[in-house]
Amino acid sequence: MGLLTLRVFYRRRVRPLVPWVSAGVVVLLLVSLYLLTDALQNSTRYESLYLWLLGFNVVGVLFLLMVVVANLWRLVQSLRAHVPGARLTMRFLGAFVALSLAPVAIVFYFSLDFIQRGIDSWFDVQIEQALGDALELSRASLDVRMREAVRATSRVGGLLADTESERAALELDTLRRETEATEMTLFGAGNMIIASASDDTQGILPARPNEAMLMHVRQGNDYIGLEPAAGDRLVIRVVTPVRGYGVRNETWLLQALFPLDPRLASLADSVQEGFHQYRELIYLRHGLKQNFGLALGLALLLSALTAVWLAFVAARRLTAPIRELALGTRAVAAGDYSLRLPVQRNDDLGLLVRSFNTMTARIAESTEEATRLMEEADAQRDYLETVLQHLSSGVLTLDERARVRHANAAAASMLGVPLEELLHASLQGLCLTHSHLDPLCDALHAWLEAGGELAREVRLFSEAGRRILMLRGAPLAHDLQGGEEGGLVLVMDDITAIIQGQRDAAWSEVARRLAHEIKNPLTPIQLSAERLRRKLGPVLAEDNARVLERATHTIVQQVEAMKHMVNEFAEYARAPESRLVPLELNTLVRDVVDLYRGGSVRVRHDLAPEPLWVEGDAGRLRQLLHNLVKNAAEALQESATTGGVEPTVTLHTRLRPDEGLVELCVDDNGPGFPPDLVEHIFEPYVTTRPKGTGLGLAIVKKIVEEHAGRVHAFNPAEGGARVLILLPALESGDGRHVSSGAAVPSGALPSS
Amino acid sequence: MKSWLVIGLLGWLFGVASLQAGEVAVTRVATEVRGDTLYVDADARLELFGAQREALESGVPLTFAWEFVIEQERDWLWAREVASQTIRARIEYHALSRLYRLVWPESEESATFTSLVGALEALTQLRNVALGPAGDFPAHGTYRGRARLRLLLDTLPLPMRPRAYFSERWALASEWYLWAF
Repeated sequence: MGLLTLRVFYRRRVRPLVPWVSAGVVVLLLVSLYLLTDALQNSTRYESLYLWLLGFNVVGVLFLLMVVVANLWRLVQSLRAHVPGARLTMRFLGAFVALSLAPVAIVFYFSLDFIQRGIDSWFDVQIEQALGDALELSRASLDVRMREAVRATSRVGGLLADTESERAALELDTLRRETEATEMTLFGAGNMIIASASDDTQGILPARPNEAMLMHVRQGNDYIGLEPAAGDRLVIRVVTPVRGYGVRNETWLLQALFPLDPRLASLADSVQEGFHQYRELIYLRHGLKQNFGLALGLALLLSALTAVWLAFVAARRLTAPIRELALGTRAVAAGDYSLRLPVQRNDDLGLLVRSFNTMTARIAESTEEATRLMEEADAQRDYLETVLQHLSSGVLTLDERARVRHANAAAASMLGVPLEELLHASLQGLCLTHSHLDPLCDALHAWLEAGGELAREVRLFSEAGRRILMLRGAPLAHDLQGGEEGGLVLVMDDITAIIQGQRDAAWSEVARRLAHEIKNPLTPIQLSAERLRRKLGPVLAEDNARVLERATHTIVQQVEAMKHMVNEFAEYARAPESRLVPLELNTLVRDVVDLYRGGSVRVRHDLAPEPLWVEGDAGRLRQLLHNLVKNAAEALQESATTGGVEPTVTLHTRLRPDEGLVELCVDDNGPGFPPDLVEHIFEPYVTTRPKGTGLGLAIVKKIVEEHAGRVHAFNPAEGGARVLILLPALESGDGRHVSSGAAVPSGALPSS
Repeated sequence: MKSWLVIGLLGWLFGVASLQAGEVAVTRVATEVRGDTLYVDADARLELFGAQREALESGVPLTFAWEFVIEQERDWLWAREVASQTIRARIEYHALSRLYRLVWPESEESATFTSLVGALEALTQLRNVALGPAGDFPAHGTYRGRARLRLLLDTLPLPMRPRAYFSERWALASEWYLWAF
């Protein structure tokens, strides 16, 4: 937390100041460098500040180096993190540095070389030799004067030998004047001053010889030396031993100082000064080169580091809009169109930023419009979806590769294929996995090849029964803007019930008219036939009477048969008068089966263990069971092709709790329904037996429909024939349905 | 003092080790009250390196400084400086006379020597340096003195200074000699 705060403080407070501080440091370094070079040129003004200036320059250069290193570090971090604009900054930096450092380095090299050669050119062997010779000449010239001074001092020493000290003091000044010495001093034992004479009346004490001189003289030699004195004067010092006065045989010392001739002294001083300065310059040559090199190096470092730092600043300023543009582009790519970049420049890059802002604004507007349109489209699609899902017509759309793009629940129900399986399935795949869809597939393939619009009726047969579908199809236009491909739309209407209803109605009308038109004349015919037999029988001859008897008998029998048939027609055409009440189906089945015990055909039942409650009319359901059992038994008796197996009719019942249905199956182990008749088996007058009226199964179907159920006849795979009836189940005898549906759904049968 | 601070800073920056004393050491210091004045006598041992000899014979004068500091010790407080004295001495070579000259700038006294050894002896045998009135040093007090002799690099010609500042051969400065009286 502390480190984070420090970092935030650095970024917000310190980092903005770094460029200004750096600029200030650069200016101060320039001033300091100027003063440093000024001091190197022997300027006494800044000589005392030399060390401070040098230190400040070094510290300043190090500061700039740190700034450059920090910038480099940030750049490397940006490159590693793939920060937008980092590579461009790197290129700008490289170009700037190359452009700035190359000339600086060249100038540095030649400047350093020039300084080295320039300093070296100050010195010459001949000049040095000449100065040495001049010095030697000066010494030789001074030697003459020094020898004169020695002779004069020795002469004075001889005069003062064995002289009393008081007298010597009196004579010393006179002797000094004679010898033109500036000072003459006589030292006694213990270097005590015996006498002294000087032309300097201000001086209090004479200049004493030092120990080295005294040592030299005590050894019996004269000391002579040319000495620099105060005021840059040159004096000749001579010290010579003098025999002292007295019995102790002491040795006194006489010291004399002689001035040089002013002209000679001036010349000697000039030679000495010139030699001195030249030697000093030679000695300082190396240091001078080093100092100039150091100053030049500092100038180079200052220039180079300032150039690199300014290159960073310039590159960053140049790439800042580009970096912001890159960030903005990323934001736009990520879907953020609200970003507006700050326009801080009026140049081309500023224009680019303004254009970017305009572009993002327009994109944002377009996106909002597109979003609004998409929402509207979604709403419309949802609306259409809702409508489609609740349409009784099946709707199917196919893409250009005959793959199902969309289907509603009605379509899935009509085709007998789960909706999940139907969606995105190919037409070819559906036909392979669901053989009952072959007629539909044939129709669609023919349509796909022929093109145009489709209006066709197809019949599908499955375990669920026959289904007549009215197909209407049309090609879909290509939606180029939305990227949607074209395809086909197929609308299916289940007209099975309509056709069946029409057919049933027609048959009912036929039956009713037959019953009406045929039944009325039958009774007069029968009565007339009986009257003929009764009136003519007694009066005709025996042969004719027999013929009459047979004829009238036949007429009466056929009329009876026709009456029976007409009654059945009437029964079929009769409007339903069922009274539906809760009843237990197993009990009803059991009662009916009991009636067929002992017959030529075995009738058995296989009932569900639990009670199966349905809402029905017991009489009509009993008639239904009788019709089915009788129909099966007659079929078994007539076919007699059970192959030695006992002809058996089995009635199965079971509950379908998930579907809320009661299933009733009537099976036989006979040859099954003729395949060409199974489609029409529940239509009137469709029968496999010569004596059948063809109304039994038609009545069964009618009764089932009266009970909101469905019936289906087919030949199961294990052989025989099967009639399957589904009725809505009740939970119990109180009339509540097991499921919400009170009628058998049309998709219930296929699952059987 | 400021120069030494800068020297220290530069030394640290360039990784130079601490400057060590050369062949110079204060060997004896004695104080004596004569009359109303406190005098000090001091002896030192000083040997010049070849670099200094070469510089001297090339005409570069070398300036040394004797530094004396007298502090009075106190029981509960830190010591109080009661006197300090710096005496400079310059040795230069006179090519024409082949003599070495020792100059005391403060007193404007000078002496010449035929050998460098003599000049150095005169430099290192300091006598009768007045530190201050004897009244400044009451007899009941305890005094602690320190003295040293060093070469003043600031007086060298400018071109020599950077090299001299970072060269051990030019770091001619004795340790502080401590004594009490």
